[in-house]
Amino acid sequence: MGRLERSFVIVNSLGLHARPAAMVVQASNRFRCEIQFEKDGLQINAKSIMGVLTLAAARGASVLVICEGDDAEQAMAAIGKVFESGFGER
Amino acid sequence: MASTTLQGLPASPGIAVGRCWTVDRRRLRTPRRKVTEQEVETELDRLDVAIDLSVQQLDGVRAKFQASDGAEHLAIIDVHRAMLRDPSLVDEVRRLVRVERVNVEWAVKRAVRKIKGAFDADDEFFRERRSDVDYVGERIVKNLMGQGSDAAEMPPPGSIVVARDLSPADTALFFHDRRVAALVTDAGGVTSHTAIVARALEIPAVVGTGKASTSAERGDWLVVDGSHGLVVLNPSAAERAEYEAARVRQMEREAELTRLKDLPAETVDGVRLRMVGNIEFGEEVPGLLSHGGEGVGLYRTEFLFMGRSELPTEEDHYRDYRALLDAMGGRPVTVRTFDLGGDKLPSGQKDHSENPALGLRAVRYCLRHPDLFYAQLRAAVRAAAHGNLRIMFPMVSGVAEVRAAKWALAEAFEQVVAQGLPARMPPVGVMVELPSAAVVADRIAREVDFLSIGTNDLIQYAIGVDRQNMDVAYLYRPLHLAVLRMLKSVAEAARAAGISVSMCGEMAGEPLYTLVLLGLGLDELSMNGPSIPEVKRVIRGASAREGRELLDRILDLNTADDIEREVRAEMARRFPGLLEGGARVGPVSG
Repeated sequence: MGRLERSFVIVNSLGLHARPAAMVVQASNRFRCEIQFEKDGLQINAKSIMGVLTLAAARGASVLVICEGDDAEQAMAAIGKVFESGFGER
Repeated sequence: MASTTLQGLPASPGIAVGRCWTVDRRRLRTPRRKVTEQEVETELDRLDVAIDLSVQQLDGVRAKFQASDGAEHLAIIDVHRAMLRDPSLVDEVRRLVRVERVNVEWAVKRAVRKIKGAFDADDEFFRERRSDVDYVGERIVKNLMGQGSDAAEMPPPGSIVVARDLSPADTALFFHDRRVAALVTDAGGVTSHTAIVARALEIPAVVGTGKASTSAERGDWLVVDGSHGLVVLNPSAAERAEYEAARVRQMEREAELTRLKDLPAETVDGVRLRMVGNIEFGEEVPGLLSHGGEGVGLYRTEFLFMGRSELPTEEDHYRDYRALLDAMGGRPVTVRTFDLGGDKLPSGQKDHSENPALGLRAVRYCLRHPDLFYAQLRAAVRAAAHGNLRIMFPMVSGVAEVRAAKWALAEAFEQVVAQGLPARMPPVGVMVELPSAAVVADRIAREVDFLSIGTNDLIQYAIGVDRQNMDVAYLYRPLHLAVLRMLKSVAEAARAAGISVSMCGEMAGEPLYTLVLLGLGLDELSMNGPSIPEVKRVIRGASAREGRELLDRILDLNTADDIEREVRAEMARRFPGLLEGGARVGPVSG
């Protein structure tokens, strides 16, 4: 049982738009732990695409990822990979 | 009946003439009733069934697409799929059924409205997402009411589909077997899914017409000009014939350009030029390659610096260059180092000097800000180890700056090697865009591996005219004798030094000038991808010798007007139709 926090910077040119949002939500839903994203004081459930979309995170924006629960470590690793890949975009 | 023309947004280029097939996508009337405590669980079960069914239907639609149709609209279906199971939707529907005791159809409608409220309607991105949420809600409600089947009637081949709006599922159904000639919607923007799919499948489309679906009826004749965003309702027989002829011309031209794509840019007397692209984003690569681009002649890296609060790191640059080299598949990529300063600085800094165009810009700015410059140089030498990267410094004024920039590059290379990272010293070139550099090009040419003439700035600095200033913009003349003399001496300097010379300004992509450029003896022309085929067509139809003869003739003239008249006359004689806007299909009538 743990709580992990890590910041990621959006690196792809189009930002966290619809397709990347679907990607991170899919990744988040593979884990049991609670996953929240926080940006500019707005905190949302990372398992909700509606929530992730409302972040409207552009290139260069920093998103804090908070995982809390049994598999927090695995979840953080998986989500980190998605962010760091620039969602497979440039 | 007289024809009427609707102006919409040009979503996907091309012309189509065909009969209208309206698609009725009127909203369902959502039933509303109270449920009893005993009914709550039944309602919630209905919700689960309807969501499962909706997911299955989207999976079915997704399977109809081929991977070759482009990943982007498959992604929209994934977004809808994620929305169907979104806790903010599902939990709110459950809450409404449990607490407010409303039927599940009505609860879905209310939950959708609430979610849409969180998306700002003034932003195009969010407008699209609002319509995504609507679509998802509608699909659940239809399934709740037993009307979720997509077994719609299919339009006859060659129809023009007209609708208020189309969901990705509709679009997939209509387009997967390529039977629709064009697409028109009342709603939507150029980044809507309809537009994206239409572009991916190369079907003409006009969106945002406002009222096409209520103005046209099934069976009416329609003309769609997707390049100009026009829809002609009930065109006369003459108009139909005109557009049909334009469509045929366009198809012939496309066929010719496609044929040109893999042919070399070689003159009839055997002079071979390299046709490369000016790009700013990796997204432009497919368009460049599809037009026959043989490399990137100018990669503008400024984009990496914009819209972020901190400078890009070496890793940011490195990742970006590697991705571009990979995307270009081994073709050469010329990376131009940071070219801002003056009025456009990264991260909101501003230069308040009187005259930013003559101020601390481009390579001057880089030499003053080693942190920024070295990150870029180190990334470039690292990326060069993995691909065909060349590096180019903008706005050098003379030999001293060339040496300073090269010294920085050599130092960056040594740093990387000392760290044990793979590195390669890339070929080094400079932009010739200041008159001083043009005049001493012979000396600069001894220091570098290639020269690239940036005509936009060269013309402005040479004539002393800001072409954004409407009072003097008329003085901006690429065919000014001073400009021609400079171009000629730069090309000769490169030849004498045995290095290659290219041009990456707008002049390179304008077919009017192609013969003159052939006369100059340039090795490489760099332009926007779509300009390549037309310029290549001129090169393949001309000889370098006639280019030299034209150049000699115009160098004897005195004014830009006289020179331009001579060049236009020659191009009109040699390439009839080239200058009459023939390159693009214009509106044919009214």
